[in-house]
Amino acid sequence: MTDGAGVASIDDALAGWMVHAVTDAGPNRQPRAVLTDLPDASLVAECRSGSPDAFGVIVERHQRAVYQLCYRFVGSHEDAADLTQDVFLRAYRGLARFRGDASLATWLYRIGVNVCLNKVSARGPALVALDDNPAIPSKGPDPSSALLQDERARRVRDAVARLPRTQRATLILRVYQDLSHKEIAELLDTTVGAVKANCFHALGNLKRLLSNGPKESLR
Amino acid sequence: MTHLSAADLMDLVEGVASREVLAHAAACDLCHRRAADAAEGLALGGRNEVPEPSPLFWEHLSRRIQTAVRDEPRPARSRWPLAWSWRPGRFAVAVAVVAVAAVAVWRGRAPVPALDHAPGAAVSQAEALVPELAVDDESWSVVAGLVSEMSADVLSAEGMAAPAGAIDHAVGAMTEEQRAELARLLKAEIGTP
Repeated sequence: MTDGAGVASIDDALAGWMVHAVTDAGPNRQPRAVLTDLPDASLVAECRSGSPDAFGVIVERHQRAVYQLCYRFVGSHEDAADLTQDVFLRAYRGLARFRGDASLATWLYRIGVNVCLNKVSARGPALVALDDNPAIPSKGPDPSSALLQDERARRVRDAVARLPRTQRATLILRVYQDLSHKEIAELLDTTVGAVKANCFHALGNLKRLLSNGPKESLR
Repeated sequence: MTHLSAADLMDLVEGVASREVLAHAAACDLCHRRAADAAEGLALGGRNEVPEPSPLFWEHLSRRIQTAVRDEPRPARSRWPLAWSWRPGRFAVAVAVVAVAAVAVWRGRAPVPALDHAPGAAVSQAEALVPELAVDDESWSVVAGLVSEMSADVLSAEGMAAPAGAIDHAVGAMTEEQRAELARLLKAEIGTP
């Protein structure tokens, strides 16, 4: 066998490997159908190893919960969609720092709470117009009762928006997102006792605002 | 009389209060009223659903996020993937580099070129100095011994091994000239009979 033949075969092997490396995302690339069955931790590992589809599956899996969290803070569909995108972008940038101590959902919530509180601080309380809501029309039997329901929902959102930051975050996470006190304490870097206390004060303030109107002073 | 704390009152509102808390609330008007206020706040504000967007919204939002993510650089394990996460390895390299520099200075040779801080670069530069220092110099054997102890398995166990797909990714990011040079080096290493 000549030297030339040996070198040619190596050339072929190298060329084939390089084509594979350049055209494919990597040896670990998984079909999307397989990715959708993976747990969050495996999807994070896939993202880190260069799978272009893995983060898309994470987005599809968690976008609803993140959007709902954001909506609770800002009370506007457009703002909630923008904030949801911001949350996932920050998560993508920070994947290297995700240690897996908490679940991916909890980690996304943590980012979401920070993003929302920053946004709310920058803009002040959200006062939402009645028509700023692209929701599907209510299937209720009577348009007037649907309108009353919308009005009531708006009043609640306005009252929540007037709560102090920590009370608002705690109330949203506990009452609307149904997280445990312990999960909220981890998210907000505080104690379970402080979470319970903040939630209690938030409920008292909410009652005052909804019963007596927005001019009620808060505690 | 000591009244219930806010945390105890929250337990009361959520129906998980201890027997002592329940007994106190039954006997104390103030605590009972405060808990009732919070419970009313929960009843007034607790059932506030987020309006469900159009079914097409989720697909649109997902596409929008993925488009934004596509413009981002790929996430890595750390900003400097091979740097300083492998303590025994970095220690050996640091010792080797310092020893090489010290020997060169002590022997009055030409100044050692400035070393890059990256461990990988330090290894390369230390190796580049070997031909100059290894010959008839016993001190080099200490340096060589330290470096030679860093087997691939040890480096892998210390997390220095490249993550899956990283090599392909690196090749994908190369220019044509860099790929040609890589091919030449690989052929030189493994291809010559």
